[in-house]
Amino acid sequence: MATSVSGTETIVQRRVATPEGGSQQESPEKTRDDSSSTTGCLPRRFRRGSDRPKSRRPPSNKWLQQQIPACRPVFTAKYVFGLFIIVGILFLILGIVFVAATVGLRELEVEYTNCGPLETDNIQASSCEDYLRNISDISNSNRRNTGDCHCTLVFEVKDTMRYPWKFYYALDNYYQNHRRYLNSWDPAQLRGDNFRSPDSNCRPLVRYRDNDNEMNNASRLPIVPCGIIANSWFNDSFHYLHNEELNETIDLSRNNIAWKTDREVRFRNDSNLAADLEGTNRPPNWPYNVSEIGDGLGNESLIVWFRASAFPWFRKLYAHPRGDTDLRPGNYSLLITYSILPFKPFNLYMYHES
Amino acid sequence: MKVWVLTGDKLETAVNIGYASKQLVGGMDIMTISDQATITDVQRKLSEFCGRIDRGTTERHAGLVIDGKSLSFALDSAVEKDFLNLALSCKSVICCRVSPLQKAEVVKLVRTNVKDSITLAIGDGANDVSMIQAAHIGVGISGREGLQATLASDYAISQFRFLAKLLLVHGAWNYRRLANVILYSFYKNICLYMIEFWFAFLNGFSGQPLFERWTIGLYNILFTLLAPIVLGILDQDVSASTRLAQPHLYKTSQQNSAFNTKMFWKWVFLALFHSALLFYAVYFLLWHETPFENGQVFGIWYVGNTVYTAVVVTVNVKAAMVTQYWTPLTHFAIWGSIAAWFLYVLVYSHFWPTFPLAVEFVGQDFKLFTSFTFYGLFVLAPAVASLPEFMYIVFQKTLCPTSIDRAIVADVEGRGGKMIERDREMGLSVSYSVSSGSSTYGDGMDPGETERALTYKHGYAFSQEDHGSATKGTFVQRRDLVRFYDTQKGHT
Repeated sequence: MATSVSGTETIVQRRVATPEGGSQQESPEKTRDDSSSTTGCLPRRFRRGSDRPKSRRPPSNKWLQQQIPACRPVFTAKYVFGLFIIVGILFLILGIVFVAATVGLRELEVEYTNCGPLETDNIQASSCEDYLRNISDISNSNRRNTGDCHCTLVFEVKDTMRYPWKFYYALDNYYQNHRRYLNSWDPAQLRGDNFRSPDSNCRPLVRYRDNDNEMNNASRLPIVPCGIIANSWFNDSFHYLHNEELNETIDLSRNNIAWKTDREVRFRNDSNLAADLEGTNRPPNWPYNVSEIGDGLGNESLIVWFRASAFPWFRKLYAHPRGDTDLRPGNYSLLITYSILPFKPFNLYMYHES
Repeated sequence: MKVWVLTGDKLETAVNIGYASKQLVGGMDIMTISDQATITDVQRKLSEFCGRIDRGTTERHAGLVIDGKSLSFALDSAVEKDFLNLALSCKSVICCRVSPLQKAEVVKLVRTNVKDSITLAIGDGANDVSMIQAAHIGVGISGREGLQATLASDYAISQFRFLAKLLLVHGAWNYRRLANVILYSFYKNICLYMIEFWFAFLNGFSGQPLFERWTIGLYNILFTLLAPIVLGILDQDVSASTRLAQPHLYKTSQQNSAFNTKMFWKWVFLALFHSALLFYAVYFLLWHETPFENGQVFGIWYVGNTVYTAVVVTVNVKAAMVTQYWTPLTHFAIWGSIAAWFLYVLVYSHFWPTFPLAVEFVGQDFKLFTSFTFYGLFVLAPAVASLPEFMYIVFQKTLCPTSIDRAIVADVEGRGGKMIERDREMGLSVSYSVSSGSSTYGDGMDPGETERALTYKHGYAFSQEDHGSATKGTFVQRRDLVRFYDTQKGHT
């Protein structure tokens, strides 16, 4: 690609590579053999104006040249030392706050799995546990006539539980986090929208008929609320705490135990369900319809039960104490009514927590 | 890194170019195999030269020049191994008068016979296309001869001198970026989904996930999407000027240091460790399930969201520890991803019942964001997860830094070194200056080797024009004039 220099007229041809892959020839520039105007020999950068060939330089800016202003961290000791000190101090403070917040916490757990002796007239058993286990006919409406099983539990409180303290019930070895258990509900039903056609997730507890001898699905009525979570509702009741020595009774208030958003958004919150429940049935384990419990679907105990736990042991908030009394040391007796929902035997713990 | 020249030019031209580009230097033993008639001649020459090498000519002082005719014999299967051995023992090899097919054959010879070799071929003309395609990496120069070479190549550059930057800067950067992206992608997914495994022990192995299903689905699309993108596009470990000034830093790319089996298992192990730590940290923190002041309990979705928060933050903090070049986009990617999760919780908790989706999330935003334990965990869990690795990094970079680490420190302190370009337009010589004292850049001389004086001659390169200028006139054209004096032919 040498240019020829000679004394005579020359025609300089340049080939320019184009994106099409071919090459085109620029128009030949005629030059004269005049030393003062040999533009053919003049280097590109000195040519003026229109003589300058168009620059083929691609666009270039900080982004394309990867020279965006940036900072580079260095991880050697002398640069990192200050950061370590600061973070260490901050976390120390955080740790102190955590410890301080938990150091005053007190917990009292009382197991009542085998609570006895029984106080109900027509029941002869050593504990409600035994009694319920022996009831044979518990899967239909006759259950209403079996009667509740009451039991009084006596326990001792050693240290004062200062107000505010809370009352929980705890279950152990209960897998509320099992996949089939968790999926077995119908949120639309709980909101009040969908009584007649429960979600198929609730299978097999979608439709039910008392005295269920028939295999015909059509004659079964839809269940409200459907699913296993509703069917297994834990309904033991704890009535009051009575301090023997001081002869005072602490009532338990069952308000405000469920999340506010649950009460307002997820669960239909009225008792006027009876009309809407025409043509539906109760869950098999329940002795009563959902319209017969306080607040209907918005019953806070039911809502709390529906907030399924992540672990196979859990506590659920049962009640706050009514009034703002402390729980003073002493012997307390607690009246418990076992729910007649069938439960396999397991450990029940009762927790106080202040 | 060996540089071989394969050209179609004559022997003298090629040798001159060799001197001009410092492939050959004065004082080198230049072994020429040219104009051999038979294969036995070539074999004889090869063994003669091999003998010279055996007797003591070191690599730095040996240069091989072979022309096309002899090369066609040398590439014969009986002789090619000897030829290759000889060629590999020389500092530079210049093949002149090679045809395009022979160029490709030379490249293939190296590629198939040298174990673990990576070959790069660079050329600018149509006759280089087969060579470019035969090599592992083909680089085409778009230029005066058109674009045939670039169309066939893996990389196209516009000037030959850009090859240095292509290799030393972009090659090294992209190797590290690619390694980081791949390893990070494995890490972040293992970290999240192993948590389901740890949770399986607690849910009776029933297959219940801890997180809501769209939250899981959006993990790779929303919350950890930008971090690997930024790692792969913007990250630079050592700056371009330092990498050009200290070419020895390229060695780490050659040695597979960023992406090998050991690194992979390191990241996988880290992912397992993080997943176990994050899950069990939340487990021990929340197992009594009563963190709210009003005594209300929470359920599985609250626990899941807490763990998920810890995971998103930890995974992004890990990306923050890997990246060495913090542009504003990097900040946005990493901290923005964490903010995106918070925004998501805020928005998603209000979907139901307007949309038939996310009933589990109702009320989660309020409960999460008003809980002191949540914020404590949000800060503590990633810190505890990242701390061991951070300590290890600091110790390693302070006590036993690699050359890259030292180069990064030099870079930050402004001591990276600059490439000095002299006579750039003539392309005659390029030299490097390094001002940092700790670099190991050197000539590669063994201690104790007596040095034969190497002098650097300037060469002058002429090339013949193939097409000739359309000169009108009756005088002799230059190409005829030059060919008249053919040094190969004996003439009076």
